[in-house]
Amino acid sequence: MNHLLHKGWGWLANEPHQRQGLRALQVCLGLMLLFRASTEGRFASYLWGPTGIGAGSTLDFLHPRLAPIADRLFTVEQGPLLLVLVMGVSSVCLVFGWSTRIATAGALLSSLALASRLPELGDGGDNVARLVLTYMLFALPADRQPRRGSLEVWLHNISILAIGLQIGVLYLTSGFLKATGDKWSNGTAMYLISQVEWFSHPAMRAPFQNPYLTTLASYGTLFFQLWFPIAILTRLRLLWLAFGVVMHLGIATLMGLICFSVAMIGLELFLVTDKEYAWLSDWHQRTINPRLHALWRSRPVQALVQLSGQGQRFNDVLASRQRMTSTPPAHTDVMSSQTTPLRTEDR
Amino acid sequence: MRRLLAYLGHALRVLTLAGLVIHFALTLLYVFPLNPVKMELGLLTSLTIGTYFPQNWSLFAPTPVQSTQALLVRCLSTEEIPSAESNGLPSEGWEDVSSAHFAQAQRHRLSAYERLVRPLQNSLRQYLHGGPDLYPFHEACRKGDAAACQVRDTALQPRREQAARMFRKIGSAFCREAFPEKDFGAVALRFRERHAVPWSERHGGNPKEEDFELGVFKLDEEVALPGIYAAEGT
Repeated sequence: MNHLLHKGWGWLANEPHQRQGLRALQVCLGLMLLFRASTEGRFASYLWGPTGIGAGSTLDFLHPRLAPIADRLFTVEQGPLLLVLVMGVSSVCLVFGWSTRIATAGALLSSLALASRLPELGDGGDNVARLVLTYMLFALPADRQPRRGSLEVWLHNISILAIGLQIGVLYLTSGFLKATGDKWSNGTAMYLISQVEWFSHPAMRAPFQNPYLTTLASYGTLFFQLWFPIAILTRLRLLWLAFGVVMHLGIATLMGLICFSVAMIGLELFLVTDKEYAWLSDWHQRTINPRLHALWRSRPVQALVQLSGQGQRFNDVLASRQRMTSTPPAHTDVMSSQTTPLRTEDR
Repeated sequence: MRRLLAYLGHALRVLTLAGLVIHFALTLLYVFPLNPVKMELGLLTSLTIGTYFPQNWSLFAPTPVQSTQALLVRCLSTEEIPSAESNGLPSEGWEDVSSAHFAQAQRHRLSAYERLVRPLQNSLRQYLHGGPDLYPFHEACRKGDAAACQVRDTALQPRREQAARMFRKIGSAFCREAFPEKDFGAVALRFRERHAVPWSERHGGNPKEEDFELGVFKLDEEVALPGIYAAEGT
């Protein structure tokens, strides 16, 4: 027990974790908010403006003295536009990793303010994004290299743990509630959802009349969600996360819940550890890249490319990439390579 | 001084960890169904998590959505208003605003249509059920608990009024934008529920439809226009 506590304390105190996962989450949340800002921006007046359909107030979460001041933003036409602009700029910064802490604060404040004006607009994606952005305020900025064992490392790891726990709560609750519903346990839930126009593409209707597909999809969803908090602590983690990403891509395409799906994919990518990202990158370099190159060099593809007239430019890019990858890897002694004699002569 | 700083640093670390544990214990309690512990600590979770970290993961659970809910709008000219109130509403000229959004959202996945219809659809759900916090009361009322019915109805009333205000604004925006040349004085609203075909009838059954009158509302002359209903909406 003591050993476990010591190990847990060390995990929190010494080194920052999930740096790559956090970047993936920042990129996904940035893309989600960018989608919102770019598509909803032109409707700002209709949704949140002084004569818009929104009539909410920040009074729900702000002090009664502060709320009227914050609500003034919605009494002028430019107020909601300004908030959408803040959301857009913050989302671009999150995607590119620029000043991520300030960008997180900007994204959070603009989302909170807009949601308070029109709470009916949000979905689960907006909800989880706001929670996670709050925890992300304590995470290290993307380019920061902190001192080992410092307080900011501790706070970063606490925020990482908070995001992880929030994902666990989300899946556990959703799975637990589904398990208590008879439509999920009798396997017809996915068929019923496929019949609802708001949540389903017409292309979903016929396939989900198949008893095998609808039962498998209903039980699969239930099983995936219920076991999620446990599976991600085992060797099945990557398999579970990959399934989650595929499932949410399906939700985005077939159900049209773009914001929700992008946020969930970000949360799934967040749970991949730094070691796993390094391993995946290495595997990609060793396995996928050579195959892609071989495919590119194959006669049918080259023939197609020559026909389209784009071949030479792509071949040039490929050749320059190969020159880059053929330079010595980082761990070899660069001084012993071709540049060494030149430097010696300089001296 | 260094020892004091180290001590404070340790204390801060312990405090943040304890805060994290308490926060997620309360979160779990907040999002889980009603249970004896939640009955004891419900107020605390509402004041903390419900106020500053509100969350709801019950979409499609425990029972998935099983019907398409749609708002039907009938723009009424000033001459039609009295007849609407005395002799019933016209049977023709009703526009299904929700379904038009669904069709556009399915055609253009990377557009705002799915988001724009949310205020309307979520208000329809609120009008019908009041929200997830009232589900236990609906269930208890269905089983014959009169006190639960009373609590539910009392809580539903202001939520329905709030939802109706939203319908009026959306209906008015539609009428003013879709028919800019006409002079309307009111908007009649109807709620349509199209139930999913039961599994047993999936190959030949037709969805059952039910309509409910929401009422006739004075046209909102001030509500901002979205700019999507210009070609009759849709």
